[in-house]
Amino acid sequence: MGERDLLEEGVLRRALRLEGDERSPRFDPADIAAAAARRPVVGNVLVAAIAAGSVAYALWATVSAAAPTLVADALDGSIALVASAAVPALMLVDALQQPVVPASVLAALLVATAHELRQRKEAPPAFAS
Amino acid sequence: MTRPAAAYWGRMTVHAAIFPSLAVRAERVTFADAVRDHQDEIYGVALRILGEREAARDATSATLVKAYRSWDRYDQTRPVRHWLLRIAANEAITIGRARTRERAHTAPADTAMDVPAAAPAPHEQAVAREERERVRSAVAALPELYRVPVVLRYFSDLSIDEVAALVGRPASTVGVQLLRARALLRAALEAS
Repeated sequence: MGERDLLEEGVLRRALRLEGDERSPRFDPADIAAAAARRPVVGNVLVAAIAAGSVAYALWATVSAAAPTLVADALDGSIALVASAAVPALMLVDALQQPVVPASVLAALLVATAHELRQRKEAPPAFAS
Repeated sequence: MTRPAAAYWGRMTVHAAIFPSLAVRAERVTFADAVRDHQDEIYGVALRILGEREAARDATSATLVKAYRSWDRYDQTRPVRHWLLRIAANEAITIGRARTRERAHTAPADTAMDVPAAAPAPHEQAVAREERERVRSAVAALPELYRVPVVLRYFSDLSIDEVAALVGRPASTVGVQLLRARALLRAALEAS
């Protein structure tokens, strides 16, 4: 039998056919049903994750629904505390950044003081003997 | 068992009970009937795709378990045989890939097929057996892309359209893949 013969459809079909010693083992439907009822490990993990997520969501929804004013009061209090501390701090920062006494006034005061000291040094005291 | 056995194994539609003359048309295939009628073919498809009996047994078992779990969702207007063969082919592919990965990690590839021990036989029978084994080995060595259509076409005797529906490819694609598979088989047989 040549290679072309081996590739004829009928020959291929006969070659692939199951022989007597290749028969399938028997599968019992009841055993299959029992095997199907056993959940795989991945399935158990998935179910546990879904359950944990559901519980967490239910807990959060309950807290959000039962105590909204408590949460709002706590938020308001914390905001007021921050604001009361922020007002004096802001004033201090403004004073440091923008001094009230202008630099030109300080400079004029320094010049006047220096001029007065020089004049006193040049003029003799009136009561010297 | 997740379902009541009595209601599951022997169920028939209401139509069959009310109109006995329509019982043949209205009777639904039970899971037990499907197992009894198709387990040999499921095992055969898995064996020819995988080439190993143990793997074929695992694939058959996985196929039947999956079919049992999906039985309520199965459209009974369609042939149960095709539905089971599609599951079987997919399970065989999955198991075959897993075994290929295992072998790549553990030991050099063993190309020897799981063939029965040669029994004493007359010369003609021995020649015929040798030719069968050559063809089977060549089919088993085909790439998965071509092996599955070849098994479904030449082992299960499905038409090209039926094979296409099972593997989810256009019929024209399956036709080309079968031609390509035959060319690969010819090359393998000439080389052996």
